[in-house]
Amino acid sequence: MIQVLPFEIGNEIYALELIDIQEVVEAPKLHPFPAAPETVSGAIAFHGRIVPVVNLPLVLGFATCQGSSRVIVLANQYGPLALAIDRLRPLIALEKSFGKDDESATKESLVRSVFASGNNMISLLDVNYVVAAIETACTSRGEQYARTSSGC
Amino acid sequence: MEKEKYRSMFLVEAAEHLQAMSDILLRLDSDPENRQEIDALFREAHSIKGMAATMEYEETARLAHRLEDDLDLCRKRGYMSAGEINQMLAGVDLLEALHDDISQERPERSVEFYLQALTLEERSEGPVSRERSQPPPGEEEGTKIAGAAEPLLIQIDLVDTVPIAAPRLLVLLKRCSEFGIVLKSWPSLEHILSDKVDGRLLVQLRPQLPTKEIHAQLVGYSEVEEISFPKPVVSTGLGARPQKSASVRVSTERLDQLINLTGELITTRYQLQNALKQRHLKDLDDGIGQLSRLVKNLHHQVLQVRMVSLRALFSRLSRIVYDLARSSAKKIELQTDGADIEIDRAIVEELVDPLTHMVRNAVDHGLKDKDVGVISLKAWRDRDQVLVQVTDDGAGIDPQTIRRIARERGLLSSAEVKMVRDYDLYQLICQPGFSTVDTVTGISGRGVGMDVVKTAIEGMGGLVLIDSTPGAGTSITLKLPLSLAIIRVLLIESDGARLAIPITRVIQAIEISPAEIHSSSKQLMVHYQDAFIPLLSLRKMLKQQKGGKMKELPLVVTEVMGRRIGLVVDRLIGQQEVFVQRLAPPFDQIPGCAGGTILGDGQVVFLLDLQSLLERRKKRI
Repeated sequence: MIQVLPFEIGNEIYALELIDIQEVVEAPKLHPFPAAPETVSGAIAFHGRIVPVVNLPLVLGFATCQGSSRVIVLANQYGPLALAIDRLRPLIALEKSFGKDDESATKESLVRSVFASGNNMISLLDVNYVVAAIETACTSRGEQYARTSSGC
Repeated sequence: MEKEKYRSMFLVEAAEHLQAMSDILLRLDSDPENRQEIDALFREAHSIKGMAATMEYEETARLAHRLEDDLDLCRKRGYMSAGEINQMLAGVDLLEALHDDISQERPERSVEFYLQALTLEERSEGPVSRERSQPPPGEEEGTKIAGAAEPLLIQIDLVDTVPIAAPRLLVLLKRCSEFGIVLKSWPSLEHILSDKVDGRLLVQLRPQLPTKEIHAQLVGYSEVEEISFPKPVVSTGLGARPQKSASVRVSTERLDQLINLTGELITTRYQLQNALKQRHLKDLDDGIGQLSRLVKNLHHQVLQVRMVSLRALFSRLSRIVYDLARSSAKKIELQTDGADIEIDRAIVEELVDPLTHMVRNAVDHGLKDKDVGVISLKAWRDRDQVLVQVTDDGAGIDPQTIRRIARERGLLSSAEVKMVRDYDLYQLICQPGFSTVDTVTGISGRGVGMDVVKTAIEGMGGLVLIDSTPGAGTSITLKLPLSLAIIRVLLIESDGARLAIPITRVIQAIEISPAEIHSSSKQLMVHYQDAFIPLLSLRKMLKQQKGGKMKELPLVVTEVMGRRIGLVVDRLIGQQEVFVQRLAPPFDQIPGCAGGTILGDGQVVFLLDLQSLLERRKKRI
């Protein structure tokens, strides 16, 4: 069994594996990060460290971000990095096989696999894709990164 | 693990002894009969020998032993000749190279050729026989700084088609032995005889013929594809980077101070807990006052641990000047002042290359047409900044030449060329590729010169200031922060966001009225001191929304890419000391941001890096 944390972005549902998450922070004060690319919405002070917050809807190509008050701080191996999402959903447990990278399920590199939960379809997000997208945005000198096929 | 611990101890201590040896040798150069110095030198070599032998660093111990022996002779004789000083310096250089090997965990390089060379030198310098032929001077290769003991490395590559290489190599090796004394060859004679070779021969020898002649004699052989003379493996001390130190030596006195402070902190904690329990506001207030005093003190003490004096760096530069003076046959006096000034060790490490470059520039360009000159190296503290200055008494920089070049390369418009002050012109020599000298010399290749210095210094939050008086000399001043981690910043606001600018980058923060603003070809300018400086809007640079009209315009006067500018911000908040956090990759790549800090009220503030922000704008255009 693996545990995943689903969250909404636009009209889609994504999820992260629990082991990829360090903490979910309630209503942190988001400080402006003026020089950062558009996909970085700001930074929070998290346990004495500066953690940039990535606007995940924007990275995934959704134009509008409804902006939850909560942000997801990723596990340390991804560097200090937090994700802003639209709305959190309660934790769910899955059969382990769901967590495996599933080539046939989707062509989108940002989704590791797709599974059903009740009536909903949930896409398990590949954190490395998000990290790579942010790297591109930061190193390509502030140019906005956007998914080619817009989900809006 | 124990060995590892002792290894790092050895490295630290050996580095200090080597530094001391270098220093003493430079002093002996002007006072060769100073017995106390020779004695001290002997003791340093002796210490290195002992340490290296204990650690089983065989080559280091052998070399140190030889130096010790030679010094013992000098000690008994009561003086050191110039040749001996040079020889000894070359030995110290080799010890440094060995030190490098050990710190990089490589096997130690062989010192055999040095020991051989030394014997040779002794014979040629000795009172009895002088008939042994010296390597002919005058050739480019013959005038090397490290003295007569300069071995030559010959590399011979055979063509691929040669069927059996061994006999060829044997012939070539034999031929090489006629050019001088062969110190070593790769492959060795035994290997060649046992036929374990490929098509390359490396020969290290003490040449008795000019390099050109050797080349001419070898080039006639068939099946030889290429003959080259790679640089010898011995470092000459120039440009060799000291290892970044991973460990710090702390005096027990300082440690005791730290322990006392922590003790006091514990006491204060109990006071505060008590005061809270008893709801005693007065005690609580006292306790917090005490706490802030202690924390400030602790902070200061911990910073001190990272501080090192500039002494080692200065003596390194002395050595460079000494070598440069010899190689360019000039008489250069180096005056140093302020070697005791302390600065964060990370900054000192970053300073090696820029200062080396500046000193070389001073010799090569400043004193270009002079045979005798003075270079002064000065450091002093000004509040929380350290200033380091390199001054020469040479020809200075001609402002007209810079005007012409700036105009030719399109760095300034003709209008600007007329308007700009000499002082601002000088800052232009830090522009990439800017050179006032047409020829590039061996000492300092221009083109990638001062811009590298400037980039390095500004990367640490410092500033480079250039001043020159034609005919009287040039002085370059580096303004540096005391520490990289804790710096003083100017807090400003732009479109609701707070930002920090390192105070070392700020020339002045002022407020101007819109009436003071002039416009020249759509560029807004303002009169500052006795020149016009362009105004740049921070909001615009950060692609923020346009601001409304203001009665007073807060302005940060700073210097970017060699030019003064006025940065228009929304509000000047004030100065503060902050602890800078470097951002983790990839966020450290963001142009315009040099790190961040969390203020006392929990607010996250980013450090503005104007240089990279403007560079990005330039690239986009």
